[in-house]
Amino acid sequence: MPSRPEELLISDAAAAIRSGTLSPVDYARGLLSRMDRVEPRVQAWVTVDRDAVMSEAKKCEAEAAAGQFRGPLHGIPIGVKDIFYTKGMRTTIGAEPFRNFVPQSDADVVTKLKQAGAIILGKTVTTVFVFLDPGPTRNPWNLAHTPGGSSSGSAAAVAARMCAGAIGSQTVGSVGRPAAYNGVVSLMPTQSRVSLRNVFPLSWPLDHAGIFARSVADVELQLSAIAREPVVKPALKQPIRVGVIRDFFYENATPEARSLQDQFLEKLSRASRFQVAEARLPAAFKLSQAILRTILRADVASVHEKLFPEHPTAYGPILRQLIETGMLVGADDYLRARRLRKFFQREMSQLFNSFDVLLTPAAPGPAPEGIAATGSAVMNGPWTLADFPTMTLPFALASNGLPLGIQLSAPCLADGTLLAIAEAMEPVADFLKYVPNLS
Amino acid sequence: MLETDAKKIEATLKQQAESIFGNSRAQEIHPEIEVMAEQLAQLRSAPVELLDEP
Repeated sequence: MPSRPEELLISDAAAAIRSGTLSPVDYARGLLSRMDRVEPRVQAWVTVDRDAVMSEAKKCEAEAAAGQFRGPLHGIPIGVKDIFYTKGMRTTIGAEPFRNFVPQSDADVVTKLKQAGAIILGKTVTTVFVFLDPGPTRNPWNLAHTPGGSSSGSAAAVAARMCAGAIGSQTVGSVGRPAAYNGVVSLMPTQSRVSLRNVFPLSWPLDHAGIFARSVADVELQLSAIAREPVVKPALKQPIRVGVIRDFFYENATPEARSLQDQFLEKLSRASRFQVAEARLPAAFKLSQAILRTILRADVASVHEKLFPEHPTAYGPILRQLIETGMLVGADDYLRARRLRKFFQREMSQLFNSFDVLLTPAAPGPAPEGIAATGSAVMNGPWTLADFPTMTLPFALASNGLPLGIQLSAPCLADGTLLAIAEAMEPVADFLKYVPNLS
Repeated sequence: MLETDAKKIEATLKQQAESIFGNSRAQEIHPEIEVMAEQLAQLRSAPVELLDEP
């Protein structure tokens, strides 16, 4: 048993449990103890049922002792964003009307996690109704800064070593951005890879599942548990062609973020496996914001058509305004936006004729100061709209000590290729050596 | 034929907002309506192919 179980990666803990050198009970107890020490400051969790966690850990331990392992996450506690329904455990959506909502059934993702042997450690904080109005969570790297959103709690919990893996969701930039702000690895898989049944929606065509961890391998382990079908990681052709998109993304990045990313790209170019070149956005890219916002407005208004009039005070000002303007979107404009999304996806896909992966900043800069807002999703929205699987890899600390991330995108359904490329880049990023100081 | 002039779209949206939310609230969300009108104008001017399904 290591003296600091919270420092274990999922891959290490899972292997240790299989080999009998780590007790699931001790591991769960270690993470709960870590939670006792740091959660009062980070506030990443909405609900943690300690008795249920320990009871599950005991079951996993007994099974392991008998040589029975449910799956790749046997005995691994995982955090789940509080929009994924959990049978018998409240699911609040970060919103007052759902304060005491206890679902009758699990989200498919939760079912699959359990089947893979994971222990649901608890429900992590989401922004109010999964949009921009923030929850109480703070950034473990600097408590005066936002952790981003809407998957605020999942990203912060992993960064704060309260769990080694967590599930989130992304409709615009709710996985990639918090991952960058909290210095953790993330994946937004292609939408069809992971079922969103029994997950509170924000926008049906744009909602994606998301995964957080501290390593690419740990993201892959979680994906293998929650994906509908196995995701195959292919052998990579050499060199790996990396298309760096600067124009729009550098216009929206801070000078320091641009400079540090360029330094990272130099390191990447020196590594023989990678061929780094500039990629140019197609003209269709200019439509991305208009398409995304029009779909989002109309969907959000539809999702909330009953809840909003019944609970007007439960809504923050940003979401309220989005719903109200969404009520003004006509069917013709909505359909046009949905059809133009296909055009956008087609045009953006052409980039992969020349590149295996596209690289951009995952956020404009480090996490902004204050927790009244969750930062900008400007770097992430286009990839969610394109439905390209996208990962964040932390790669540097800014001068204020907060993390920065790069964002990698691959063609639709090339999730396995993306994981393989991220794994190849991980040693160049070499970020695991940095740990937030919460002592 | 859909209107593609952002100012005209904005006027229509403003009118709709006033009738649904009242003048005061419509005024409050007017900056967002302006943004929305620009975005709809952009979409309405963009090429859609017959075979582009939603």
